[in-house]
Amino acid sequence: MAAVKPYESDWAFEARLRRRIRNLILFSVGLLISLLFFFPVYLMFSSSFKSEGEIFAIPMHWIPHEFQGFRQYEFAFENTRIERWYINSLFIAAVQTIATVFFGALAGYGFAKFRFPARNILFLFILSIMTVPFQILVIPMFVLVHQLGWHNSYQGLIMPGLISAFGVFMMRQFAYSIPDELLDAARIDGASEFSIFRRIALPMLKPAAASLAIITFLFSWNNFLWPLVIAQDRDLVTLPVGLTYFSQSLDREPLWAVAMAVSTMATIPVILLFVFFQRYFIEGMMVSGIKG
Amino acid sequence: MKVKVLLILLIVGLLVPFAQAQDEPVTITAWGHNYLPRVALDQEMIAAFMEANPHITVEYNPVPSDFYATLNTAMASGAGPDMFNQATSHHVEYYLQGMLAPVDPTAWGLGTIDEVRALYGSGDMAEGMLTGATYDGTLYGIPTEMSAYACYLNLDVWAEAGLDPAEDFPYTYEALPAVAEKMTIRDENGVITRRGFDFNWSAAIFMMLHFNPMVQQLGGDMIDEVNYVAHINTPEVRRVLEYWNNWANEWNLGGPEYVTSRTGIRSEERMGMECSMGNWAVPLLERAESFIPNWALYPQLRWEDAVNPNGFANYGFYWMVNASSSEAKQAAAWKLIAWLSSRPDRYLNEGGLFQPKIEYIESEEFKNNEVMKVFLDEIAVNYFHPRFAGFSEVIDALIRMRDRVVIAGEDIDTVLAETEDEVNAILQRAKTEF
Amino acid sequence: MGIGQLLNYRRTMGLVQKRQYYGLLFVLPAVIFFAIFFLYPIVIGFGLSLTDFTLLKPPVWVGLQNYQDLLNDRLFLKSLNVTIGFVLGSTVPVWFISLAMAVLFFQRFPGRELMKVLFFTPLLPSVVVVSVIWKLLLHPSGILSSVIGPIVGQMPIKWLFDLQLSPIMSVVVHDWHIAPFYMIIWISGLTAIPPELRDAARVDGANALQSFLRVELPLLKPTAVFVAAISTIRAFQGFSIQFVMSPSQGGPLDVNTTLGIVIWKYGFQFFRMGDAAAISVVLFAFILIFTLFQLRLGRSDDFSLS
Repeated sequence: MAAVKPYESDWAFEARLRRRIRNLILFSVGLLISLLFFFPVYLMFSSSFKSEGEIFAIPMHWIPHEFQGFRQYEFAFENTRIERWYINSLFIAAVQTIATVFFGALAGYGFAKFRFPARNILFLFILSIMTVPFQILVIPMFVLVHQLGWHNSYQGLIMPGLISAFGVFMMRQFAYSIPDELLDAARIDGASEFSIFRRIALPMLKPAAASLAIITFLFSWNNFLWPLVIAQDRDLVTLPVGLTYFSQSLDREPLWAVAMAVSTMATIPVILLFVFFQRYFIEGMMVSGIKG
Repeated sequence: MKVKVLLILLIVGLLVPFAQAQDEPVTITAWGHNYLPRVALDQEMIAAFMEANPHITVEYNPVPSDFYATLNTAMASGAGPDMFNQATSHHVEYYLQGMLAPVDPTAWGLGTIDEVRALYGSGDMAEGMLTGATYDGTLYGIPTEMSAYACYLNLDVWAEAGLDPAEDFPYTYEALPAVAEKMTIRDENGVITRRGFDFNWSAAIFMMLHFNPMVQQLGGDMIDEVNYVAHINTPEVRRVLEYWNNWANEWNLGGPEYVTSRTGIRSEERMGMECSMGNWAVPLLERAESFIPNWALYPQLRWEDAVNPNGFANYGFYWMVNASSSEAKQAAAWKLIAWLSSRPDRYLNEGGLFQPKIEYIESEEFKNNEVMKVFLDEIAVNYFHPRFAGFSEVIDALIRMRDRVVIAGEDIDTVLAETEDEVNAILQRAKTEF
Repeated sequence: MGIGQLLNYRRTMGLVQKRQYYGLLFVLPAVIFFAIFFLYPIVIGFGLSLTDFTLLKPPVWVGLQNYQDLLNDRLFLKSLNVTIGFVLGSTVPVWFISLAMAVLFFQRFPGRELMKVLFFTPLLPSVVVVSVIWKLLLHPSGILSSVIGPIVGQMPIKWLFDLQLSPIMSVVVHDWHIAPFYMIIWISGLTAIPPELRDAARVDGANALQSFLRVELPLLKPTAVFVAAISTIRAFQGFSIQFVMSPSQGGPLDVNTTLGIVIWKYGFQFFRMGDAAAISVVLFAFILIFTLFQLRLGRSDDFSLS
């Protein structure tokens, strides 16, 4: 190797070059894969501007040949109460998300950081909730909700998803990585257990909570079977159930173009939510690091 | 004469308390499957009904999807609706469990059930229309739509292929492949990009609606609904199955893998003809964005040597009443059903659904309806699809039979023999469980 | 540390055992909730497996008959195979794709934000819409045929109607649909790693890959356990993609009929809820054993941290 030490500016140049090459590689790989993943969803967007027949053109049209403008969107609004579906879905998803994240963090922290009697049994119980196929629970749960007088009501729609075993499990896994020293230090300072949870554990669980919030919102937003069987009142229809007005009409031809329009409209709030949570919670954590 | 007067007095005397009871406020729930044109009309009719009958409140629920599963869940949980618009393929089990209430003629202001039957004509025709909801001679439902399927042609495609339906329409399954071939387009690899005609491979129900009628035309019948016995390992079934297999594999005219949507004629594929749509397809074809400005309607296809006159199978939907609902609710439900079946003209014109009331069938308007003429002719000669417990499981087995031959290329005789055993086992279990 | 604090500390240490009971308080709301809303349905659901239940009349007690019948139930045995295949295809590949994408998007480079959103989108449309889009992509003369066809030279490719290819396509569509979901979880796992540790590794001269393998991967273990467990549970319960995308709900010839589909068909289409319940119990047992096994694998680490 040359013994001559390069000039400072050469170092800077090389570093810059390296960074550029690295960025270029990351950029190309990222772009290729994300376009590959995005492509089918793009077809959903573009199909919502096609006519009914053009959707089934083989080979498919990348760009609508007979651009329909917002006709399919208008059709959806004119024929159904889609704005009501939106409000219902939003309300249910919001309540379930907040409750799932809070109680999930609470229980997950409890399971990860305390050793109390029956801890393993109780965790096994919650774990097994997840492993029972939902198909078998539909009827007994329907009977239960019916006996409570909650079918055809928001309570009935929301209740089974208010706390999720998934959320408890996820927060438990993330709570493990909270250093015990931090908690003990706070205890020495005389803080109560709940305030330790609120002031120390919860902030450290933020990235996981942000992800859990996105996921729970999405699950709730797309939940289909339960709202279908439990809510007969037209005022209680949610977006995924409403979508089937166009996509699954018994033995008739579905209106796929309208279904694509409804589906496109349904995805927008989730994209916004994703961007918001990513930026303000996860990104924020990355920049500032986790403060003890 | 005196006896008659006495009888009337007696009836009136009996009815008076009921008449009073009827004015008690009553709320009924009504479920139907979701079909946008009908739902809109149902809602309008129900609003008018509630205005005319202020003491009755109707909660109407067009179940958005998976109607049968949703209805079964509610019924199983004791939260079933008071009335429901149910398909003929799915109410046998309800009847066998005593969950259906017989039609109540007083809702029409009529004395006997025969007078209700008379609203749907007399003789074989009416018999055929009401068969779907008749069990052991008792009528349990009122038809909301009677369906049979015929052949819709895309005339532009026929013209492109140099065909004139008036001369070239095949009429028989024997003549069909040659005509379909002329309209079929394949790419350089032999992959079909446009089918001339194809069977409807999309849903299992077509094994009962299309496949079985082809067997019946030849004199067979896959299911004996009275004795719960399957006749599948027969020359008739063999011949139909071979035809379907040849269609896909030998003649390369179509096949299950080409199905993207339920109907090919409406997609941009521009299929030359489609024989699995009812009269309800007309408004779909005439939607502004449709690709078929020029279409024609022809009869369903038949075998040249058919021994029976049927084409497709008849099926229908009927309003039925939950036998476990209170008497007052049942009475109100039948009253609503009578109301909803009072405007067959509107249901046909606005919803594309055929309520086969004789008064309407004999009206000038109906007689001038060229489309309905074709379908009425079909319905008159068709058989109702078999109705038996275990229907869904049997059609699932029949699809398996079809695919074992058409997709997996298994030996047809083995498949037929095994399927017969399988279906017999299903029928036996269904019979003992219900 | 002042003397008062020390005393306080002593007292706290003395209360250690008592303190642990606070954990019970933390988990109690969730436990009570599940006991009310899930325990009863689960007990009833499992109880149905000992009966013949047609939905339309009260269940009839048959003891273990349904379980015995399963041994000769062709569709059930077939679906066991199908399910195992689906579990294999929809767990391991998903872990790697989602982890790789999480690591990629954890780097800073131009355009990252937009790409992350694009990659996230497959998770959004409902399965019905997903399936109709893929049916078009997988048409014999569709876009995938024209890309792949010339390479393999075999025409026509029947994608969803080919007995070998069809279950693979279910896996592909499932993995495409679900990978973003696990990416999100991995990202929060990565975020939870203190940056100082990563920086320390860099200072020691480790390159990106080395620092990932040495520092980040071990710290991701709780996340990995979680991802592995959840993806396995969900794969065992695989239902929706096959139900709406594959021909005749799990076909052709049942090659896509997972246990989830059999349960649905038996329970809600064939009026055989008792048999459906028996299959559910079997499936439940499978999943639980698998999950406990996975948790055990990841256990030493979890507990050393606690």
